[in-house]
Amino acid sequence: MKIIKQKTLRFCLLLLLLLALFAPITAFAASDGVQRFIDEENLLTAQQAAALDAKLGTISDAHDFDVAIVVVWSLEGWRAHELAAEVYEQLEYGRGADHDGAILLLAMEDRDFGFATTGYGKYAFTSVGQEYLDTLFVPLLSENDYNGAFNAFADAADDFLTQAENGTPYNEGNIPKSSGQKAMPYIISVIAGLIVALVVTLSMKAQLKSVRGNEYAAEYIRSGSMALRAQNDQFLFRNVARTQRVEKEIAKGVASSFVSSSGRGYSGHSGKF
Amino acid sequence: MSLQEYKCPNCGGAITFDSGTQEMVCPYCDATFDVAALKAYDDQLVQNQESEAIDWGEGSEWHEGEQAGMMVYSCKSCGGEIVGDETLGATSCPFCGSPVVMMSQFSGTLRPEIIIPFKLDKAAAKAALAGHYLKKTLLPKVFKDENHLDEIKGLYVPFWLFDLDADGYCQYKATRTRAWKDSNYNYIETSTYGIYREGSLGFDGVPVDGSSAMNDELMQSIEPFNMNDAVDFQTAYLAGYLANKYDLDAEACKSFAHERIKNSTQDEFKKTVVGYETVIPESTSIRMKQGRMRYALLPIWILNTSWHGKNYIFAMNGQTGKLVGDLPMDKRAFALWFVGLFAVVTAVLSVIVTIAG
Repeated sequence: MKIIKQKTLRFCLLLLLLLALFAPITAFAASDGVQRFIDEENLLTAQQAAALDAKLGTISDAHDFDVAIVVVWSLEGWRAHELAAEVYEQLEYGRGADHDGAILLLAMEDRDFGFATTGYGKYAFTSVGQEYLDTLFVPLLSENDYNGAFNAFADAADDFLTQAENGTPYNEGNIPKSSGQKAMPYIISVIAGLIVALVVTLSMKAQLKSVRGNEYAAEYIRSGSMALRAQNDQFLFRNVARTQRVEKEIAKGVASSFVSSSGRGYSGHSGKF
Repeated sequence: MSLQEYKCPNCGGAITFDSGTQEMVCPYCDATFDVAALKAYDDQLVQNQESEAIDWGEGSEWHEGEQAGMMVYSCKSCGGEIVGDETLGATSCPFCGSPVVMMSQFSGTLRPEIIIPFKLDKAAAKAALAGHYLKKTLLPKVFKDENHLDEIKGLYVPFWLFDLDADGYCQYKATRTRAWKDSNYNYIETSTYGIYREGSLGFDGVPVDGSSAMNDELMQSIEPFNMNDAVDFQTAYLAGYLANKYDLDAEACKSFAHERIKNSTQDEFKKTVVGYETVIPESTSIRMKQGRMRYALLPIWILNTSWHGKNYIFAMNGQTGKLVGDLPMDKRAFALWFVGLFAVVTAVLSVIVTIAG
């Protein structure tokens, strides 16, 4: 734990130093003086960054729930969602006694992203909801449309929080479906209809054909005449194929509960874009 | 060449073999005769092979070479001329209907060793054809309604029966797989084995039809024949039926019998390779030994019908009643069924999806 704390401290000092260096470019603090969009890699223009930071501030105030986005270069050996939680705490995000809030962290070196949420966020952003959340902004990240992706994340966070405040946080059974997802069951119905129709009609057609050559003589085997003089099963060689499981799970972005170095409980996940 | 008609000793009418009673029956006076009782009479007839037969001298109207492959017989009952090809062995006179047997086709080296007498009669063949039409959804309704049988004939088809022992070996490459996982990796272990099987397998009575005129696939489709019903050949069994002698000798039919036996031997060897996910044959050597072949006549009902200018041939195993024959398809019904099933299944699934969604 001590090692983790030292590592965290070193990283955050570096982060704050960088923030200070690029303050004129990246710091667009909201009216409450809290900067919720930190962009070390200058992915957005100054105007885009200012607009996004203002948007995050508005959403945070509206729901009394901090929503932040931080872009760094490297994970420094951390898992993305765990680093997101450390940064969240070091930058003192969070509202109320439970430090309600959520953060999206991007590490550009290996194109990683991590999402972490605590307090009320653990209710608002369910495991299933986080999978849905990824579908709203990760495709845009993959296309390098960072402004689009960050704004989509902010809008999604706003929507998730509203949904939770109405007592129905996004979870199994109420995840909105895309037009493709809505159409998919009907496309499957059409394909199933085609397959059933084809199988049944072809089997009907097959009933009409009864003349078939016979290239075997199984019916004429003399009973009890089978005599095996030699039968040998010889082992030759063995191959073992190994595939990594961890990478798959990270790529799928499966959400999990975890504890930060300070002992605060979070829910979050990591992924690639 | 001799021509044999079986006459009723009681009334002189032409007698035939009855598949129901397995006896010779006179249709005129209802007298019945045991086949075995006619054997002596038959043997006597076999000795009398030469004499009346072809009168090629009257062939002044034939063109040169036209008689090739043709035989002309005179009916003993009415004197009418019966013309047939050189494989014709038994028929009925087209003028008086008397069943006749061309004795020369089944004598000497051409004499069949065994015969399976007809077990099923013409009525059974008609009933089997009617049954064949049932439960065929795409069979045009008008085919059943309009079509009528052009011909039904009970035919003894010449077959070569091969009794052989197959001996050899088969080698396979086979694999077994095992899967497991730990916290970081999924593992699939594939173990490869070399498999060897060597041995022998016996076959009795593998049939190959010896008539080039018969459709091979049609004949194979009505198998199997049960050789337990086979009896020593008597020409009396042919009375009332058609019969051909072979025009493909045993040597010509041997290779196909070997192929069938080889395929089945490989199959049986492979069945002994168990416990593997994949079994791939690598090399095989199957030899035939201790072979014996028999010339046999097997009973088959041939039914001909025509519809829309096309002939449809059905064959029924005269011993077991198995009937085969390809039928025409109603293309409109096929399209309607396809579209209807597609629409119904798609609609039902869509409703379920909508309700569930």
